[in-house]
Amino acid sequence: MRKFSLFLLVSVFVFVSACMAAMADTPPGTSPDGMNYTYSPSEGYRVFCRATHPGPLAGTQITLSATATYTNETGQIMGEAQSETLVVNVANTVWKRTWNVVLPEEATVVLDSGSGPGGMSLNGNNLTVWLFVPNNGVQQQFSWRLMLKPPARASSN
Amino acid sequence: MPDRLEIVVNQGPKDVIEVSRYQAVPGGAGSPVSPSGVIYWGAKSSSPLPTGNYGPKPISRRVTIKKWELLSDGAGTLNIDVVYNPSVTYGPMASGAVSPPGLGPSLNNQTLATGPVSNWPVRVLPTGSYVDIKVAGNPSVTGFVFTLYVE
Repeated sequence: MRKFSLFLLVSVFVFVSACMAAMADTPPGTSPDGMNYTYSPSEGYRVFCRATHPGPLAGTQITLSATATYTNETGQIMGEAQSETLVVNVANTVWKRTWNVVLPEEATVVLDSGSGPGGMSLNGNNLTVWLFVPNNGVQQQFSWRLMLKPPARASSN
Repeated sequence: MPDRLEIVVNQGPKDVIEVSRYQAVPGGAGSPVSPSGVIYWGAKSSSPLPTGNYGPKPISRRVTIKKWELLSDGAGTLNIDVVYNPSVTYGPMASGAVSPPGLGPSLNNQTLATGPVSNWPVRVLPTGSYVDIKVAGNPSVTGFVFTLYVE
């Protein structure tokens, strides 16, 4: 069991390491979308989940134009004309990006009042982290902390 | 509209504690707490929670603590000491007492507790200080959200 726990612990580190592009405590917009982490003695491991809305920006105008075709009773095309255009304004939308992480038994996850616009839930060892991303072109960021406890020691007597 | 946490705690077999929506402090992770509202910590573990400090929060302006609230994912015991550092020059670990040492916010076979801070040694956190919580004893719950309401 302890070996398995250790394996899980290592797996999480490998997962987190594989996901990180850089180890920099940077504000949103200065690191690529995805996950990375920082380590500091006072906080330990802080994992950052970043995302930018992939769709068109709110307020973007999309112009739709059409051709009107006139057909008679026999199906013969009698004429064509340029139809009026329709301008569609892209509305404000908020998407939710979710990450799923399997945690080792020794891990505790912590969020706080600086975590950002998102949330997290832990179901057994399955951690789900989500981030709300509006279509404003601005990268959003949610961060959480990973506290690692030493594996329980067997009794020495 | 009060600036407070809205928390959904599922106490069913899935053992889920979920922060469904909350007012984030503007500025993102690690940013100083500046507006009036809440300072909170939330933690969840699949095994007993670790003891010790849960992470300092920097205070960018003088705030006054009004009350506290402690919510867990199941009935059990949990004892918290609220601690602070007057300044980071004293080192990263917050250890000065904000709540009475050993008599801080606690759960005793409850899932929710709240209380005043009238008997706390420190109720005003100065600019540049750090506030933290310290889980003490042997907690029996596996998840909690602790909130300080500040002005």
